[in-house]
Amino acid sequence: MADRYKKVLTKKDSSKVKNSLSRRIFLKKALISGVAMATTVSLAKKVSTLAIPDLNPQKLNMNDVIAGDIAMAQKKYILMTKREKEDLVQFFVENYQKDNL
Amino acid sequence: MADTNSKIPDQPGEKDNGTNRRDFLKETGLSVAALTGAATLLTGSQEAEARVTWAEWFQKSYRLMTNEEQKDAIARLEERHSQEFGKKVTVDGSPAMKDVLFGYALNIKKCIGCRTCVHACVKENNQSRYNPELQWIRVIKMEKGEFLAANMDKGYPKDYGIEVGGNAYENAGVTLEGEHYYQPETVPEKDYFYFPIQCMQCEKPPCVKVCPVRSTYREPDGIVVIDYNWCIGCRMCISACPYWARRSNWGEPNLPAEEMNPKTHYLGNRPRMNGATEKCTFCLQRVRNGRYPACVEACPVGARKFGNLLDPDSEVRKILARKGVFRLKAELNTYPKFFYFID
Repeated sequence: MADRYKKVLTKKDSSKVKNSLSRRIFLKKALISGVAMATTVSLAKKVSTLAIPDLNPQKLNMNDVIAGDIAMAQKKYILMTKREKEDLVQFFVENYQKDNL
Repeated sequence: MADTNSKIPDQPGEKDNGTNRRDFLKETGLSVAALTGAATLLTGSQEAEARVTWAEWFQKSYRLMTNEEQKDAIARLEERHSQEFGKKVTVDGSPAMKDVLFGYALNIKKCIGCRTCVHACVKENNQSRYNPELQWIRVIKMEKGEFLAANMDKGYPKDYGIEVGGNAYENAGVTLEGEHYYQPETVPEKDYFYFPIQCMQCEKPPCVKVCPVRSTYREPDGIVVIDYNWCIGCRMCISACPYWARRSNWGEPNLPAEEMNPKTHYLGNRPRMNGATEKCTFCLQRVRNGRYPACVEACPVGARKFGNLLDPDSEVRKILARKGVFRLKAELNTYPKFFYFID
């Protein structure tokens, strides 16, 4: 009988030790991961700040807009023929009916 | 004795269950405490913003929401914006009207370049006023070419391929770079014409095709909309738009409370956030309630016309039938629903 109890208690103890070990390992891993992540983020931020020195929102916006204006201004504008206009209207009507059946 | 006091596994189930129950209760207690703590941190204050932030993080794309979820999302925004701007803000969720496909026509010969439309648009649509100063309509000043009515049916301009159309402006007038910040004492200036550009509400919009999260899509009434909460700010749509009509909020938008238009639409002019993309929506909040877009109303020379492309009696359809019309980048087959016309 005594042996039987001993065996059970030993099993319990070993599982406790195992639990505490795995918790310790988990916490250690979590800590290391946290530190690694924080380092990576701060490093990335530092690098991006150095690489892109001017993050002025207005300037960035104008970079988009001016390029667009220049591109749009260099087009040729061609009047549609009567047939083209009729076909286009027909296309819109049919497309609407197809989508909203 | 010690042995007798300790739990004897005569009834194995009891021992196992006792330990498990204790662990379970312990873990549950800890989890509940942690969750309560987090919830207290985020929602403990009475700030509407904190509650909305929490809910918005977990909300679905607007298109996939049920009616109830849409109502909840709208109510949250109304509360937050009302608190933020210190006035009663309404967020409309009106869907597209049946049998309506919106189209727009602009008389290029009438436009005087006053940019009243630009300012009306900014005011109506709650665009960021400074840093960045966003404008959905751009007006480009261009040197006049020669308009030759006789050339209208003489094919495309030189080097342009199959001759099935006509050309009105000689190339000289359109190959110049546009001027972006013209500030004359008076407009229009001699020998110049003005070219307003905004979202063309394409029938086959390339911006919609490239959106990796489907935050932008075409509504049944033809308006291309953006679910600002679902937008991840990747700017793919901005790159894809051949008309350069989309704007990115590069920084936190600056919208003074006193200038904020409180009548908003969820998919239209509600205040946007840092990183979200935005663009013209034909003033969704107005046109779905039977009003004209702000730019149409504001134009002092009546150069802007708006209507239902499915209605043969609408202004836009009449313009398409009777006037000289052209579209921008028609060759891309995006089927823009924004037309330029000449009297």
